[in-house]
Amino acid sequence: MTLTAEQDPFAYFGLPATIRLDRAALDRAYTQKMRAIHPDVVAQDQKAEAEIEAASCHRAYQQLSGFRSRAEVILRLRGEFSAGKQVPPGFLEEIFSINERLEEGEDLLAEAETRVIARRRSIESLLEQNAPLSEVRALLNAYIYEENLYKQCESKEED
Amino acid sequence: MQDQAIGIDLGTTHSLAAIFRNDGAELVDPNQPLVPSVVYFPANGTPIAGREAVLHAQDHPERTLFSIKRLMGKGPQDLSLTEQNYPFHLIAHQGLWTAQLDTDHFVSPPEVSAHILREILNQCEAKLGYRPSRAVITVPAYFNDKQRSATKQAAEMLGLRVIRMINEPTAAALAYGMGHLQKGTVAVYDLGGGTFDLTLLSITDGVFRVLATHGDTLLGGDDFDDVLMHQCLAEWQIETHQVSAQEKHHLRQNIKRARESLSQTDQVELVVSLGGLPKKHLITRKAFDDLIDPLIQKTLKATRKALRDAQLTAGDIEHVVLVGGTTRTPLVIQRVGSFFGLKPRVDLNPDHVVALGAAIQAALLDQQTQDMLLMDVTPLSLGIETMGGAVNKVIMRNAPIPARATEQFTTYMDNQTGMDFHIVQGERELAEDNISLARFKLSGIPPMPAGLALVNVRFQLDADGILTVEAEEQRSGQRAAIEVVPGHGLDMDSVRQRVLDSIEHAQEDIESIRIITARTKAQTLVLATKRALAQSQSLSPEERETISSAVRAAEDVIESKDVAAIESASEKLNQATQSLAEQLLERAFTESVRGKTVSEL
Repeated sequence: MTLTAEQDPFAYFGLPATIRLDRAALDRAYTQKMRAIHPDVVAQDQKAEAEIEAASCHRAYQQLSGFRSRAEVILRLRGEFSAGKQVPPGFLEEIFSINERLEEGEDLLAEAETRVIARRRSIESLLEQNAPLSEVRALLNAYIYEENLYKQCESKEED
Repeated sequence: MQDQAIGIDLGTTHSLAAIFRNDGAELVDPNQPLVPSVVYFPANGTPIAGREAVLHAQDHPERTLFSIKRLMGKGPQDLSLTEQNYPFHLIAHQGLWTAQLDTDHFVSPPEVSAHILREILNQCEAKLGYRPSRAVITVPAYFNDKQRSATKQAAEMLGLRVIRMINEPTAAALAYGMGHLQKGTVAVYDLGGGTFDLTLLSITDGVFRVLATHGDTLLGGDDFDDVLMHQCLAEWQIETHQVSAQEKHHLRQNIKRARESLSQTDQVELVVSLGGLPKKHLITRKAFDDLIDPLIQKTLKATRKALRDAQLTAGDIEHVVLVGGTTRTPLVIQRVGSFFGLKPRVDLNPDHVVALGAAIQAALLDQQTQDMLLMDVTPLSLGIETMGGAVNKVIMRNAPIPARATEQFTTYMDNQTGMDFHIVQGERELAEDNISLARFKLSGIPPMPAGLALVNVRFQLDADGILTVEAEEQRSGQRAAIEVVPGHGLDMDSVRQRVLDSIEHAQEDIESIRIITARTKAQTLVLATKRALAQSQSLSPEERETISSAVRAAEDVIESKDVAAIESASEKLNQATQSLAEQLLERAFTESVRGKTVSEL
């Protein structure tokens, strides 16, 4: 039995379930699927079904292309039942001081970017070492905060 | 056998058709491809479109209609005609512009466009030996639903079936994709007479994926003419209001010509007659460049926004394609080139490229070729209004279509048997600030305690942009569904305004959401407490009074905008009801165990 896009997007695209995903390989697999299933390329009587499959395919692609959603998929595939709220030790104190500096109007874009990149590296290595899921979850929760911080600083920069 | 579908670029100044041949798209009439988008309506007899119509413009300006595309699907509320200075008479009919030729002779913009399309079909028939019955027609990316359906209506008047409408910049990318660009990340920079659009696409293995679109509907070559005109008038020490509409038209025509020749030469002398006096002004390329540079910077600002939407940087772009006549301006080519650090592609004629792309999409939909596939996105987020007026976005802006997504909702009152759904489109956090698309109701939910019903709401957006929303209560299988066409009545101006608004008002929205959340929480608590008070007999009068006064205090602040006050009242009410809650819990437990043996527990 083949796994559906919802069950396992990695298997759906025929890719290894790894956080360090080869983007070019993902894009290739995605476009190859689309060329076969898009409503514009199938016969008239298969269009309704194609609408549904193409939508699942888009979604699976989007899940795998973002770092955070890709990590979520891997945690689910490794058996995480529900996402806990834990963060790494000392992280709450760090947020506290970051928020204070933000309120004082400090520009944290460069620092936020460094944090995001460093956090990705540590999540990647934890996942590759098959670390306990709760440890990965703690880092991922911190990453979610840091990614939002980065976006916030970035949009401030734009204005 | 069906005749072959063609591609048509129905343009503001000229229109043209292209068709797919064995290995690529080509113009139907390579010798005279451009049909002027002009129609002459003689007092008696058949209207004349195209090249022949232009000849009548001089003698019958009031009966020779041009630039009609700017009027498609528009009414007095959309467009100020003061700048346009149409020499023919326009009146509003049912909120839409209509040209008045005689006291009793009116022509709508779709009708005028139909005559232009008829001329195109005549050209096709002469060259191809048959009259095409199906076509892909291109529209500007910023065209709204009204404008798109006006375009479709024009084709239908002729019995021409529109198999799809595609955006002009996307069509240009398809044309480049055939033989020129096989893969890579592409920016299409489309600067026309009146509008600017920037579209980012990714091309892999013949799949064209639109990543983001941004632009400015009020920025184009006409603005270049405007700044030049103001500069000339200042030079001659003439105030704008001293120039008659007729003279302004004459001046604008000459300035446009001067600007176009500056693309080839370093300086040009402008000679016009104003108020019966000859006026001269020498325009150098350098002076012109200084005038238009701020306008080009504006296009680059929109470009940066598109890049941000697509999560890309200028360095990620591998090819830049220029579309639209205004991109022949040397400074535009130079600025765009240095912004991306690339030499912009001009392999294909910017006047032909859109029609060629339309012909390719026609062949793809006819499955005459399978070399390429175009994947589009939805321009605005789609969502559902939740308790308290916030929006739960279900399909996000720039999501590839077809798209499908499901959200789960539940009842918030005991024995609630119906649920109302309000579907909205836009980026703002509150439903009332977005566009309302449709409302529908799911009824027949079996009575059960609040929070127990499980209602799945599924959004499905198909390849043609039609949205279907379906709600189903899981326990009873009750269903309700509605079909909506998103984007109705939306134009790109308002699309962009909404995106801007959502950024500007983000702070305001967050504040509103905090108020709504606090209110909803307090209301739920007040309701639950009142119900419990009514059921409980074991409370002392003092306890009862403490709780009642906490309820009153909460009710007093619930409608205010003071989040802290609402939250603190909720908290106090929560504390006051502590013992009540314990009693109720105790009673519920006793009831549930009554009559049961210990072993059954």
